[in-house]
Amino acid sequence: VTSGGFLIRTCWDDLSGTIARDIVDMPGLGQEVQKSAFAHCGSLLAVSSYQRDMASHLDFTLYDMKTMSVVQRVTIDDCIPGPFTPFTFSPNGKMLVFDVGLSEILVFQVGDLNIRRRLLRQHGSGRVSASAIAFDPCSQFMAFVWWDNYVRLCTP
Amino acid sequence: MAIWSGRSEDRNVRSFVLIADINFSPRFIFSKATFTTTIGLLQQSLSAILIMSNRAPAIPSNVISVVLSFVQDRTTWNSVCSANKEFYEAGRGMTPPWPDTKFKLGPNGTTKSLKFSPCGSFLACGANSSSPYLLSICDRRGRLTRLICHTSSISDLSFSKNGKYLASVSASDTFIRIWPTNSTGLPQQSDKKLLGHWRRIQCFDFAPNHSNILVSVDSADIKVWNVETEGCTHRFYSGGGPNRYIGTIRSIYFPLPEIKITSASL
Repeated sequence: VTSGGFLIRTCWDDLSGTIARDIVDMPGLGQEVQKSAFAHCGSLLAVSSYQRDMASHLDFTLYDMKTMSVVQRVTIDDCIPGPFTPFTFSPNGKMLVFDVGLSEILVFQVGDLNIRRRLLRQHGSGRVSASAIAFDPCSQFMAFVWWDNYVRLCTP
Repeated sequence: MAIWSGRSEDRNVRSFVLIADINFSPRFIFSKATFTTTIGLLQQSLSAILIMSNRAPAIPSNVISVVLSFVQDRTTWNSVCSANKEFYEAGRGMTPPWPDTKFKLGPNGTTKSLKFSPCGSFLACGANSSSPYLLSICDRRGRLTRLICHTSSISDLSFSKNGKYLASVSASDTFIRIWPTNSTGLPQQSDKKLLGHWRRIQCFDFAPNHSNILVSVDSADIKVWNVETEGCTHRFYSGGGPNRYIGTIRSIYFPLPEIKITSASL
């Protein structure tokens, strides 16, 4: 998936050496894809894109790759913009975790993008975002790193 | 008579019932039925029961391993293993839970990459501190392994799906470092590199069904690699052509093949 909202589909065959490739538009995805992540199971794609006129407003979109259509879109009004804002799906595909950069991590429920839980960081230095988030393979807990390079483990 | 029921945290769902009689001698009975999970109650009570059970008949080792896999925090693990001799012996051969809810992986600095190994026993972290740039790997016992890797901060990490390899890329290097893992799944120091990109690597991933195949993308090329031979097997142009701007590639996805089940009956 490209930042311009296109999907490059590539297929190769090691035996025959043939390569097939095409570029298709993804309707409704928009043209300002900042970051994207695929679900580990299923066909969902999560995309974050900032609104041009309001940089602190971020659109969060769930896209179905099978039907090539937008499943759900939410706008987060107050967040710190940045290309490296981490978000990730849980391996079981049921949760989507996103750091809004305000000492807060949102755990979304995949499907309707309802906020399932807010994880607040207790730190006195103000607005600091997590620099990396990862799920364990069983989706039972997640790890994230703050600026001080401490890893925290918690249940989502 | 007291009854506790629970489910192992193992992927294979294993429900069990713990029955302790009036003398606190534990009796374990496995059941495939799902019972209401009373994790807190079980964890609070387990240590006390096991202390009392030292006089009871020997507990089967497979029962011990299931019960220990059910314990999720290190404090409970330590108290359970120290309370009963058999559990202590069994616990030495098992992987305990993560040591704490907060621990330091490396020197101060921004960390942009964090990945669990497929077996869940290791956590790899690319630290952005200062030269030498370190790849830190923590195991469940809290032991750190540090690998010297790139010439700039690590921007992304990925384990192969079978855990045989760990791959890393940095913010400015034009190659991919490959770290083969040992029999326990711990990445080892290696000089293995996938060379051939001319620009910074934007994203990469291992193929889900073939652990030797890795696909990487820079701003111009998509490359397919054989990790085993360190060779590039295929190369595609990633742009849309001179009259079509499509942007830079943000992520890679391997669609899993659909499994079709056909059945027939006479």
